[in-house]
Amino acid sequence: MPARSSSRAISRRPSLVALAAALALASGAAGCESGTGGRPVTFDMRVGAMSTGQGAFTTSSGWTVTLDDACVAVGPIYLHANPPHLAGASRARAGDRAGDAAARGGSVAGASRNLFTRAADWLVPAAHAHEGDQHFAGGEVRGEWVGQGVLAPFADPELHLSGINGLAGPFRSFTVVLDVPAGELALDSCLRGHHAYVAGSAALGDELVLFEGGLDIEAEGQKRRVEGLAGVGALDDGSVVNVRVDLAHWFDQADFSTLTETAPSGRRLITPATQVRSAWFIGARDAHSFTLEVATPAQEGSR
Amino acid sequence: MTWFRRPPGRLSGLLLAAGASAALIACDSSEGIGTGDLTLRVSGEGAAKVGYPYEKNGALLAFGDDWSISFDKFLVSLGQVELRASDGAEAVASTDTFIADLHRGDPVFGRYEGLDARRWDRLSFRILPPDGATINLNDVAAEDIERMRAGGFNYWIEGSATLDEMTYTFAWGLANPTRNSSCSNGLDGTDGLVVRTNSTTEAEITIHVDHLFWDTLGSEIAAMRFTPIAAASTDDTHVDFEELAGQLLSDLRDIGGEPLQDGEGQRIVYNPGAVPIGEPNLMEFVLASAASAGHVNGLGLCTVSAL
Repeated sequence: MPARSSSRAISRRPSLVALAAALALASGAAGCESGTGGRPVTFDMRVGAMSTGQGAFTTSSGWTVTLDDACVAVGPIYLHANPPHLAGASRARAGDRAGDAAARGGSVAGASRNLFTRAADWLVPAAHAHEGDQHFAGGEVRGEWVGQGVLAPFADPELHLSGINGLAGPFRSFTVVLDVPAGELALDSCLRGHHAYVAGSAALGDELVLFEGGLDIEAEGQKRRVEGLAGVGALDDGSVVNVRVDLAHWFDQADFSTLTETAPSGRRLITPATQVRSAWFIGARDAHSFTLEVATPAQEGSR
Repeated sequence: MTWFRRPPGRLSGLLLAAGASAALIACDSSEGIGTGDLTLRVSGEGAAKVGYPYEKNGALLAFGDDWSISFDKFLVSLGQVELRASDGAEAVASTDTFIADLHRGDPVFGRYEGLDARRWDRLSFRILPPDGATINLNDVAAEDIERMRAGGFNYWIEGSATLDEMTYTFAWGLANPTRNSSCSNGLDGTDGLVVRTNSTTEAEITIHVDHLFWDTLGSEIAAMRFTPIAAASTDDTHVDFEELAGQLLSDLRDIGGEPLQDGEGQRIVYNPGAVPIGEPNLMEFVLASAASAGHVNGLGLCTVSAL
């Protein structure tokens, strides 16, 4: 229980000895691990597509893609105390880089990052380094949904997950696991046994490609874990964590003209050997594939 | 080389002592008694000297696609070492920067005397381009230093790769400066370094050469490949670093221009994971991978942030 203070405040100038003692105690405390402190809370999580009606988008490769169906098996999802690794260790994406390069009158292989990335560098505290082979060390898990579900935004916009256990306080990154659909999810009619499945059309100039196919992720290394995603928030009782999947990012680098095999439906088939599958594998798991924000109960109620 | 000695002032000594006492009480850590010295060296291990394949601790480190690599130069510019403790104490706060050719050897770049004997759990250093004050550790050519300074390169790497009758050369400047902080010790996995009483602690900033050729980010477990690098060369057998931008991660090609495949005919896809990279091409991938090449005492990992 927190100590209750009296209404009477006492203020006086601290002596040097008291200041030294305070500094010493503070530094001593800073030297300790924070432990697993944090009040237990329960919160809700909603997993959905980046925006409703996200059926059509234009990729960086110039294709206008319209999805008729899409689904992905997600979970577990972990919220970590530590920030992402390599948060700003590479360059910003196209628009920022082009501007930076133009400003410097060249396009050398130098590091240029946008203001947001720089701000993120300043704002996020350094994570502890760690043992092991993986660069990301999430530290304390502040919240976790250990289940698995199918996000099928064309059938149901969101997965609603309630009563998830966590610890009150901030988190600075999150991890999404993309496991093989298990149990009854293995029989999901949309997934068709894959980690993810899509059907749609892609247009570029006069070319129109109707396509479909599934994504299967190998059980190699960390391929089924999208680790250390940037996502800052704070948990409290009744918080709602909104995780969004960016379907538009899935095929950002895809060249649909390279699909040649035809499915029984007559659509071109995304097979493991295709460039489109390679682009999907990268796009479904990269730093921009998931976003996260936290709403308080009041914010959620005002929606 | 830098010799650093920090005589504690009376007030700071008092505060440090108070802090140390509080830390002792709060954390039950063990403080050393007296002082010791610290020596820091930088190494690219055997790989920077002899290339790949390279045998390390009885294990053969080799490319997954059978290329052999040798280096003519492996230059790194680093420094601005800081060694602190989480209770606020400070042992080293150096602004010095150094440049070394790791192909030539593993030079010492810092000797620090009279440090309090204890655990210093906050070790950080920077890998950054040289400037006019950068100290040349092992006869790096002046024109190389100037090229790195002018280009903003923190690495300069020259070498060649051979497979069967094919030989490709490369001379790359990498501009991916980083601050490497809160480093763990690769020898025991603990945070930072321990300075022991009346002895010299020897520690190493280890530059992992293999990061340049990895096919996976975010992990120390990855395969090394050179075929997509060789294939990036558009008109000759010399691979410019900027040419790597022509290899798209979603459509890697082999030297014949066909999709890059493994021995079983499966498409090879590099794995950037959730590590943020710029454009999804091989040049950006190598920059991001090499950004985490700095380690401590072999395998010790640091928290890496861009400069």
